[in-house]
Amino acid sequence: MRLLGLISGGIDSPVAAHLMLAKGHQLDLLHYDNRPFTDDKQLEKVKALAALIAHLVGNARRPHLLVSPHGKVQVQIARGAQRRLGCVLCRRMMFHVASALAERDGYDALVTGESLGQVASQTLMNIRAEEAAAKVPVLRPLIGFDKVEIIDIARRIGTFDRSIVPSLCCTIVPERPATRAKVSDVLKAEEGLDMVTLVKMELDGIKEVEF
Amino acid sequence: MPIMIRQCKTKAGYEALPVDKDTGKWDQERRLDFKAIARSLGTEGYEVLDAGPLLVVKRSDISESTIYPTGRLMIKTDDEAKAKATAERIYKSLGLEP
Repeated sequence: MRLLGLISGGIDSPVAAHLMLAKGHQLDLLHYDNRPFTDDKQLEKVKALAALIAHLVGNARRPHLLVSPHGKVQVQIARGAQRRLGCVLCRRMMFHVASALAERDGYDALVTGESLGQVASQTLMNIRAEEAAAKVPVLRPLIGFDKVEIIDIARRIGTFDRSIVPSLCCTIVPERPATRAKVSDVLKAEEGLDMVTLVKMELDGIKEVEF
Repeated sequence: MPIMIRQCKTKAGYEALPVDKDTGKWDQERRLDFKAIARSLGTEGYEVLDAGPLLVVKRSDISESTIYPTGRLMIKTDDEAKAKATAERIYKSLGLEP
């Protein structure tokens, strides 16, 4: 399979990408650049993590690192939608954009580092509301793992120390993010946004980055 | 108005809060007028991104910062002295001087 792994710079997504690469699949990495709502260190971390992941598979299957400009879309979500749905709509936008990229460039599925219940956005209801935006299958190799298991793998493959290097959290996260978002609510919220234009704007801005 | 500065939990930035000089408490009910602030900061040479529920501001003499409606700041630096100087300049521009 040809996969697109969504990578954030945290602990989980590099482990998820590694597990799918270790199964022998071809995988490229897609990072959503959230500046100015995060700092420059985030992208530097992602490049370093990509290099560590690439080192484990060798040159023949070295992943490409793609970076998607997500900050401008975040502004439109924050201005145009119910505040508490911000994180769910942000992640739905990631799936919209990744799906469009997958359809354009021939990826069979997306890979994420989600595991149930770790953070506010990872409740079952939110995951359902978010993945409804995906038009290709979403693979979650860590879904049943607990944090200790994920950290064990991250340490083993050498990504843990890099993942915990401090970088700024997303500053546009609402004070009380929705934890039980309904598909009907997020679809209604997206009606207030120019989704076609936003997805195209972000898709057209995706660039490959050297690492 | 005194400023409380503390490192954010990731240790990659600093949070600043304008607190009451008598009680030492942060007025979480305060709601800044972002439209007016965006205009006035613009005239003081700040580059301002109005993202709706928050403003992102830049200027050559400060670290890039996020302003929340309550006056809370998130400052992108891991240097405490720079964070303090940034908070003082922004609060001065907002009329929330120490």
